[in-house]
Formats: sequence, structure tokens, C-alpha cells
Amino acid sequence: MSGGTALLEVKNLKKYYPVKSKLSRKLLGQVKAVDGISFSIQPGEVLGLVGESGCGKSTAGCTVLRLENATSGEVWFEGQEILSMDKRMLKDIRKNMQMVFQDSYSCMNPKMTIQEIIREPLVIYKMPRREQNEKIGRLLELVGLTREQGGRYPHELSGGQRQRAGIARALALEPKLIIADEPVSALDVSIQAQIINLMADLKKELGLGYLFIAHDLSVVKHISDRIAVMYLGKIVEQCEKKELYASPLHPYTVSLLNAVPIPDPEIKKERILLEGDLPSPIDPPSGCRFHPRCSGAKECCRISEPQLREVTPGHFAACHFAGGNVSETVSEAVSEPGEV
Amino acid sequence: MDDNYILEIKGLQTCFYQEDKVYYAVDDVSFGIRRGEILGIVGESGCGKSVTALSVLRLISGKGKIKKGAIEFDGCDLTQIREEEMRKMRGRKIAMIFQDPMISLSPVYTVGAQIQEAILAHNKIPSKEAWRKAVEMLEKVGIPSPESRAKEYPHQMSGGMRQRVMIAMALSMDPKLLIADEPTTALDVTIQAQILDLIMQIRKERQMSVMLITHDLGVIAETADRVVVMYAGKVVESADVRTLFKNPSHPYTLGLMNALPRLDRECERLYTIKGTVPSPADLPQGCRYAGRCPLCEERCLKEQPELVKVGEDHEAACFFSKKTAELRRKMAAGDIRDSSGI
Repeated sequence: MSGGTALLEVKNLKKYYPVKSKLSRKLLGQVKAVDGISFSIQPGEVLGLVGESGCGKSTAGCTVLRLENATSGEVWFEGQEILSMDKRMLKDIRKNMQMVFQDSYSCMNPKMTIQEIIREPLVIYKMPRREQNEKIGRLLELVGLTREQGGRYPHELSGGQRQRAGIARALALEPKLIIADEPVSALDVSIQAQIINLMADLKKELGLGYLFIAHDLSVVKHISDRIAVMYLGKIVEQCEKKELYASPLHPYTVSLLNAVPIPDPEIKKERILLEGDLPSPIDPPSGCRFHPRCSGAKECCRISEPQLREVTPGHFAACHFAGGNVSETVSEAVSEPGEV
Repeated sequence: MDDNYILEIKGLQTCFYQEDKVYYAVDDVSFGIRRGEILGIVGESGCGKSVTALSVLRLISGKGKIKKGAIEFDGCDLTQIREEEMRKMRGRKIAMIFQDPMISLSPVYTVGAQIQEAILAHNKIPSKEAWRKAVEMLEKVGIPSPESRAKEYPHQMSGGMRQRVMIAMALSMDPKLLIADEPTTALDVTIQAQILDLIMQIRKERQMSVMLITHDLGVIAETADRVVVMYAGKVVESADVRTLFKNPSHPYTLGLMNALPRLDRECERLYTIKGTVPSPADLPQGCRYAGRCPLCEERCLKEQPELVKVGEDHEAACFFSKKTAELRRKMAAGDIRDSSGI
């Protein structure tokens, strides 16, 4: 993973939303949607960001693009810091990073045809008119749409076709990084496979890097090179794809993987049911945020928060007990861990 | 009627009228649910699985109509009985839960009051007793501190909790059949696992039959006993769950299984089913899957295949169901990547 600059490097990114009283506008607290996450994406690499709803994965994606202003942290794109950039420089760099959204219908202007929608970024970045038409034609072909479909309005296309158009729009400025926020979760299985294959092909052909945000672990497994698992605003585990599925270290990852139904009735697995719901991000549990739902939680998990540490080479986990060896912070903080 | 079956649907045809045109959402569908079993109905959006469920409860209104067919429930044809009798069936004998509990629940009443109302609608008991029963039901579906939770409004609960409330309401009448229409689609996987576990546990305790509608083959594999696969308003295959996954005999079922990214297997590239589901306004004359099928021949374009027996408790609607096994082997070997033909 070393050598050369990373395509994207995120360092200790935080995004807090204030919660104010409706009457006095007094600050009641903060929703710590993203609470100090760090990751990097190499050119041509796919990082999968998974987690359940409310874990902050979409906020992380938006904050990286500066669609939301970060509370603190750094985002480096090809060696340039984005969060402190002025608007003009940001516009220049933004054409290298584009976004694909979950709901392809709500992110398109219903009064514009697909062609016009794809043309917009080209107009904004002042491509000569003559070249635009040719470019649009190539983009439509690239994502598997016909010229005729390009002349239609968003509501006249099926969900899968619309998502293809959304990808074409994102590709219009020849970006190096695509942030895809749940791009296939609204689609049917047969269409989902088409879009996943398309995204995999584009990655290979154009050397794109993806930040692939999704809740479906099977989809993420299929497309990603590396995976980061988020829980309540924090990354709890991060490693190579194969490693994650073969030997997950964090108990949350273990139960998340276990909860995915396997389409094979011959496999009868031992269910690990995770109790309760996701706690509120306004008032996250003390210590390890996962401890109230964790079956292996000890006293120390309630007191001290585990840091993301490299348990085995290239495999990071934020659990005191990951990999059998107790982390140093714990052995210092608590001499004798007892059951909670 | 076979006494093993709690529900038998025979030749059901439900259509919708719009601007002088007729759209057949469900077209000649027949299947049965046995007592105490979980029957999974799987298919993509628009295949008619939800309309089938709504037809059973006669909740098709407005521009829709059950045009043909019989729905025999416990010895009586639901399409023939009067509306008053039907109302007694709903909730008491057949209960239904939906995908989005926030839409099904009223935002202005507490969840306890809503369950209480359902109980009072079917029983002449004092309201205090109904409230006690509501709290008891909430406890049964695994809601912690049910007394105080019963006084909460739906928005104060999480998605998983709301779905539990819906299940509690559905079970309060001790129905014989529970229809669950995508009950876990809006939920996270860990919560989905909890809800499916609850449904299976209830089925075991009460010997209730369940019609589980979903688009997720994983959910089907883990919970259903038998499966009906639907495509464009028709049943294309039905079998017990093990047979279906081991020996899918309709090319659509096979395609669906191979298009899924899997946690338990590695594959370079997903199999894709070319094209999209035909629009109900413009259905092909022959087999409805013909346009996307790798096994399609002359005959498929002209004739509609009937559902025929292909094995023990296993039916498929394909002229070339024998060839599907060969197709499966080729797919497994990675020789075929999409449905554009062999």
C-alpha cells in the first residue's frame, strides 16, 4: 500500500451536527455522525465502506466531497488538502471526484432529458459545444445506453437505466475517484448485477478509484479491494477484503457477517443474534461504543475506548480483545478485567 | 379441497384498469400453503407477489379487480363471500404485516392504543382487558419494558421495534395465516435477523402458516419451507426450498441465483440477466421470460408454457426445464456469463 501519493487520504475526519432546543436555540448536544475516521484510497482501488443505517457512512462520503462542511480533520486528494481550499481551487479539483447516488430519480432534474443532465457538468467546466455532443455519445455508449434513450426524460427510464445515466453523468468529467453512495440498493437483483458489473468494468477500463458506500456486505465483498466497517461514527475494522471475510477480528463485524442470509438452505449456521438497536449517536455509550451489544464485553470495554490498531499486518481493528492479545491501553487502565 | 392446505389459490387473475386498458398484474396464478408451513414467494418488483397477497385479503380496490379464480381458505372461497364476512376474516383469521410499519401505524395514537383497538374490533371485552392483552402481546414479540413502551408513539421507536409492534398487532387475534409482505426489507441486516427469528419462533409455537413475500433469496433459503418463484404475473417455479436451490428448473430461477453476489463464494464476475422485466402493458405472446432467456427457441415465442411437474413436489413452467440442469453446470464452470444465449 506504500509508495506514491494516495488518491485520497482522510485523516481524523469529524462531522458533528448541533442539536438545538426548538424554543431557546440553546445547544442541547451534538450528533457525532462521523467521529474521527481515517482511511486512504490508492489510484484504481475500491474501498468499501459498510455499516448499518445511521453509522455515518453517507455523511463520511458527503464530507469528503465537501458537500457537507467537516467539523475537523483533513482530506487529501492527490497531495492537496481539500477542506481548507478556497472555492475556485475546489472547483478545479472537484471534477476529479464525482458522486453516484442511491436514488437516481431524486438526483436528476425531471424537466431535463438524460442528455441535458449529462451535459451539465460539461457546460460548467466549459467544454466547447461541438465536443460536448460527441462526448455525451461516448458516455452513453460506455454505460450501455442508446442515443435514443439519451433523449428521454428520467421518468421514462427504468431504475437500472437511470442508474446507468447517473454513472454517465459522474464520468463526464473523467474523474479519478467516484464516491458511490448505495448505488445498487434500490435495484432488483438482476439489474443490480448489471450495474455492479458495469462499475467493475469501468474501474478496469478507466482506472477509477471508488469509495463504495453500502450496507449490503455481499455486494461490498464482490466489488471492493479493501473494506472499512463503521459503527456509530467510527471505523471499527479495516483490512483487505479476503482477510475481513475469512477472519474478522471485531465482534461487530462477526455478528454483521453472521446476520447476512446465505442463499443456500443446506448451510445451517449458528445464528449470533445481536441484541437491541443502534444506540443514539447523540449520547453514544461510554468506552467502546459497541459494548452494550457485545457478548464478550468486559469491565474495561465500558471504561476505556479502544483505538484502531494494527492487530495483524494490514488488518486494523478497534477492539481491546482483537486477535486474542489484549491491547496495551487496557492492560494499563484495568489490571483485572472482570465480567460486566 | 385437500385438508393439508390452509389456503389454496386457483387460477387467480387480478387486473387493473387504466384509461380503457387492462393490465394483468397477476395472471392465472395457482399455489397452496400447507398448515404450519412458511411459504416463500420470491420475485423482482412488479412480478405480482404483493398483488397476490392483497387479492387473498380482498384489499384490491379502486381500479383493480379480481377477475377470475378461487381463493379457498379453510374450506371457504374468499372471492365469493360477502364483504361483512370478509371483514371478519381479515385480522382474525388472516393477518398481514407490511414493509414499512411507519405507514401502517397511525402517528397520532400510542402503539398500545392501536393494538388495543385491533383487539376490541374483533372481541367484546372490557377495554382494560384489551390493554392488558396488548401489553402481553408486546412482551411476546420481545419488546423490553412493554408497559412503558405501549404508551409510546411510533416515531419514538426504531424500525425494528415498529415492525415488532406490527407483528404483535397481527398476532393479537391468533390468526391461522400470517401474510408478511417484505417484512424486513427496510431493516438493517442485524435487525432483519432478529425479526426473521421472531417469525420462525412464532410459527413453531402456534403452528401458524406464513406467506413470506420477499425479493431476497437469502431470506428465503434461511426461513421458507417451500418456495414459489414469480415472474411478470406468473408462477414460473415452485418447489420445496432445498430442491429449488439444488435443482432450479426454470432458467429465471437459475439466473436470479447466479446474479446474486455471495458471501460464501468467490466469483470474478456476476452473471447478468439481459434486459428488463416486460411491462404489464406490453406482455409477450409466448413465455414472458423468452426475451431474456438463454434457452429461448421458436416455440417459446409463440406458446405460453404451463406449470408442469418436473419432480417430487416440484413444478416449473418451461418447455426446456431439462436443459436447465446443463445450463447450470455451464454457469458453475464459468462458461456462460450472461443470458445472451449458449
